[in-house]
Parts: sequence; C-alpha cells; structure tokens
Amino acid sequence: MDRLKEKIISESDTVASCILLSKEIDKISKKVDKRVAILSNFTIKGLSESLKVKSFVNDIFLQVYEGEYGQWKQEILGNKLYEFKPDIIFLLIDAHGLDNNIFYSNNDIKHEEIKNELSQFVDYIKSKTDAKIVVSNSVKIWPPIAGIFDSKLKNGYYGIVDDYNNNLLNIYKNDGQVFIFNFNEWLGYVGKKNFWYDKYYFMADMKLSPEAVPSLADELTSYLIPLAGKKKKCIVLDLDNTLWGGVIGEDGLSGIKLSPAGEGQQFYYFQKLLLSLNERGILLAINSRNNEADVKEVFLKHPHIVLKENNIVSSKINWNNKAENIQAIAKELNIGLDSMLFIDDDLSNRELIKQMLPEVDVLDLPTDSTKYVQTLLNYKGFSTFEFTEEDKNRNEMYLQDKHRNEYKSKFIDMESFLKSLCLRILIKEVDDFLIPRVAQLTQKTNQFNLTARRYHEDDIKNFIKSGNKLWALDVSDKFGDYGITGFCLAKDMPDRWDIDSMLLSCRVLGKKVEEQFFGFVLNELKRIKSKKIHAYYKPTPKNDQVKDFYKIFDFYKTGLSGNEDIWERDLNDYVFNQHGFIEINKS
Amino acid sequence: MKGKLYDLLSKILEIPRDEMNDEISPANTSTWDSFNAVMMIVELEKASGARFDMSDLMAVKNVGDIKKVLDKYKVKYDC
Repeated sequence: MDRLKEKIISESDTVASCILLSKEIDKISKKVDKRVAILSNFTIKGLSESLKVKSFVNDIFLQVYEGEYGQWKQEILGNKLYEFKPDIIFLLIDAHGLDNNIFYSNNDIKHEEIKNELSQFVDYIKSKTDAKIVVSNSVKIWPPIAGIFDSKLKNGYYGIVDDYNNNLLNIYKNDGQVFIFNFNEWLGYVGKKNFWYDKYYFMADMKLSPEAVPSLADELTSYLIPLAGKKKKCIVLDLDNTLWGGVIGEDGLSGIKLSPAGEGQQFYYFQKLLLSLNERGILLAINSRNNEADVKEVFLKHPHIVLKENNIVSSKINWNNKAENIQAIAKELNIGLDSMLFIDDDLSNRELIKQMLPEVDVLDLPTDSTKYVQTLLNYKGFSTFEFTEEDKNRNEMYLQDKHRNEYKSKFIDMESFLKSLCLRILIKEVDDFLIPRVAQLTQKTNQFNLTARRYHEDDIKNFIKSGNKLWALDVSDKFGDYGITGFCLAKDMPDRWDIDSMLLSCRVLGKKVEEQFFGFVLNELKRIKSKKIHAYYKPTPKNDQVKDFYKIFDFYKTGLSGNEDIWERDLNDYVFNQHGFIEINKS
Repeated sequence: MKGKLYDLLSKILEIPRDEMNDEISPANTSTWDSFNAVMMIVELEKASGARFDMSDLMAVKNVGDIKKVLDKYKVKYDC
C-alpha cells in the first residue's frame, strides 16, 4: 500500500493516470471510509477517480457517486442520490450555466432570478440528508466584455457575479452543514487563462480543462480530511534554514537571516504563518540538531523573532536522530504520530522520517525559501469545519500540561500528587452550546474511546431530541482549565441503558478522572431509572488500553455484537465510590 | 517528447503496445471514445510541451494522423 502511495504522489498529475491509479486502488482494497457524491452543471470527467486517488494518499478510501451529465436538478429532486447515503455532496455549479446571458448581455437586466435558484436546491438537499454540502461559487471570466467600463455599469458583469457569490456566502455563513467552495479564487490561482473555456470546451463540452482536474481533486480533499477525522494537530519544526536563514551554531545571533524587511523576510513571514496556525489551535514543537543555549538565545534575544518560547509546547534540541525526537514529542504531548506534520529544509532528514515513521506527514519544502509560505498554505492537513473554544485555548492548555509535568516530578507517590493538583470536574448535560465540541471529540478521540463512533453535530442534536442522556466533562486543576474533554452517551432503551459512547481526551488521563466521570454517569442513570445496563467495546488499532475499562465497575462480559464486546451489569446494586481528591460538580 | 508514443497511447486505449500501428482508429478500437481522445491530447501535450490547435486535432482519424500532428509541431518522438 505504501508503494502505491509513492507511485500516486509521483504520477497522479494527469486525469489519465488518476483513472489508472484508481483502478489499482480498487484492486487492493474494497474499504469505504466516506461516501462522496458529485453533482455539477458542467462536465468534469475524471474527477471521481482523481478524488479517490488523492484521498488515498491521506488514508481515506472513497466511494464516489457521480450525478448524470446535465441532470443535477433531477438528481437533487430524485431518490438515487439519497439512497447512496452520501457523507458529503459536492455541488459544483457555474452561474453561467444557470443563465448564459450574464456574460454576453448588455447588462440592462439584473439577473435576479439566478440568485435564489441554487439555494432552493441546496435547501432541498438539507431537508433530505445530514451530509455536508459543499457548494462552489461561480467563476468570473477575465476580462469582461465592457472592459474597464464594466465597473461603471449599473448591472456590470462582475457586479452580477459578485452579487451571486456574496449571496451564497451570506445565506450559509452560519450553517454548519453547508460550505461555500471558492471555485473562482481557486481557478484564478491555478490559471483561468489556460484551464477555463479552453479548446476542450469546444471539443468535448469541458469548461474546466481536464488538465486542471487532478488539482481540483487535490483542493477538494480539504473537505474530506476533516470529514474523515484526519486533521493534524501538531507541527514539528526544524530551525536552521527553516525558521531562519543560516545556521545559528555557525553564523551566530547577528548572522542568521530573519527580518520584516530586506534579507530574511521570507523567514519572518513563514514564522508569522506558523504563529497564526498556532493561534488556531495547531501545536508547535521543535526538533533540531543544535546546542540548546544557542537556540535559547535566538528565542529570547533576536529582535525579529516572531515565535516565542510560549508558542512551543515541546522542544527537542539535541544531537539525537530526528525520528527518535519525534517519537519523544508524540509521547510527551500524548498525541499520535499520524497527527503530526514535520517541516525541515534538509532532504535527508525528511527521507529519514518518511522511512522510519511513515505515519508522520512530511512537508516537501522547496529548496527556494521564498516558496515556504505558499507551500505550507497549500497543505491541507489543517482543514477544519469548525473552530471551537478548545482550539483557541489549546496552546495555553498544553503549556499548562508542560508545567504540570515539571511539577509532578517533585512528588514521590501518585496519590499525593493527585491531591496537590486540586482536581475539579464539572459534569454538564450536553446542550446546544456544547454540541460542536462534543461532535469534535467523537471525531478526534482515538485512544480512550470505547466504541469509536464518530458523530456530526446533527447526530448529537438528534440524540438529545430523542430523549437520551448525554454528558460532557469539564476538568480543571490548579494549573488551569482543560475544557470539555470527555463525553458519554447513554441511550434509554425500553429494558436497559445502552452506553453508546464513552470517551475522554487523552490529556486528562492518568488522574483517575475517567473513573469518577463514568462512576458519576452510572450513579445518575441509577437515579433516573434503575435497570440493566449494557456497555460496548469496539477494538480499534488505538484503543487497546480501554478494553477492560468496564471491569473496574463490575461489569461482566456477556458476548459479542458484531466485533464489539458486550459488557453488562444491573444498576440496582451499584454504589458510586467517590475519590476524596476530586471535587465533582454538576450543572 | 518524454517517453514513447506507443506506451502513452496503449496505456490510455488499453491495448498491448505490440498491437499498436498507424491504422488504429476510433472505427476499429472501442476504447477510442471521445473521453479517451481528450485524455490522449492532454497526455501528448504534457509529454511534448506543445499546444495543439483544435483544427489540427479534429483532422486526426487514426494513429498515423497523430504522428502527422506531432511532425507538424516539430515534436521529436520514438514509437
């Protein structure tokens, strides 16, 4: 599989090769992670295969449904699309296909009708499915017929298309299900001149040149990565010639190149981009072969350093091999290797990581450092459907963890350490405000996750609506607040409770919080209705540590349902054993 | 041109390269449909760096004609 991946990375640049490669993928695996539907009002042959191929590189296996040519409206109003049960629907609609006069007319009419036509269809899809819906905006052709005078026309061509595009943006601004794909800007970036209304349109009705289809597929994987829960959490950074020009150990503090103007500007802006990602919840770590004292001097004293020590949650500055360092960082931060991106200008270091730690993503940094910013901007692993409070505070929380660990080493036994932490847990019934975070937790939590069932916001909403019990866990201690880091879903069945999901973010593990949370849940369920309870464990490659979790609470294993262990007990004789060192509150 | 002409065509048309000849055409090859015709153009342009005019492409009736187009654009190729 890794060999095919390499082949794809080097060969998937034309539609013809994507089609061949997608057949190879079909041969080696029948797996389907996500179901994708594509509807369009212009021909984009080969997009299905290209999407499949580009997703495979990100370890996502797709099944793709392509709407019949020229029939996107019938598809939306029919049943076939919904019988396919898509997880995501790409609706690639060009306004010129809705009303082909918008470009050629002399613009005395306002073309008001096309503005709301598309949204009516999008709303209809929403009424039929919870799938994410990605709607493209419309391309603007350069240049307009009226030329420089277009900007003076009452209903100029650009005015009309801008209106149409802005209208789409505004309608769905606060809609978590619908995302507007800026097709116009993307096509401008890859090249309208060569790829839009080129000869292929006149030969085969392909408005978008087939040459651009693989890069469109690449761009659309931005939506599939968060959909499949493959978002990265952490960037591991090299220093010399990555964060600044030159080598600190040789060139010295005043010799390295890093400046907001003149020489070293590209590194300054690269750091600004990293800082910005850090503020969006991406953790930064350092992995560098250097003397620690030299590096410290840069972070403390360089006049133009953008990233500060408190933006870095883990530092490995030593002469070890970089693969060992990455493993140590993963362990320290308690995150998986598959949630890390490694950035290093040195080709041999990158090769080392690719071979030793294939789970880690490696950014192929160009030799020209002025292209660093563009390269990282085009990296898709940080794509996200939401930006939560947790994301905003993540850096701060990991810094607190770092301080906690330094503090922990002062204690001899666990009990006295836990006592000194002054742990407080707050257990909240999940309400509208908590839904986005809870859905995010089900998508992202791998290690302490008993059933690994992944839910979207609408799923959570429906669980609440149908009268199930959903609790979220908020943990804090003397160093600060961990935020919402646990979730439990108990389904109210006629004869029993069913623990559908039980998970905790790995950041709060090792403090007995998990036992108190679930103990509390059992106690509450008993209070609401004392009956039998079933809980489940579904083995995944990452959750081995919780396979006997329910044993702690005197559940006994009674069998298998599919590949899930069933654990049972009766709530009648359950007694909640509260630890003295954790304060529990309920809201 | 990068690579060999018959490798490129046989990959898209899914026929063995030793069965390739000038007479292969849409009329005698079911895989030479409109879509694969486009795929051949994309691949040929990419391999040669040339940009063919539509009128030259419309004149292509078989593999022999493809060679004529390549000659017209002064693209050097091996079969």
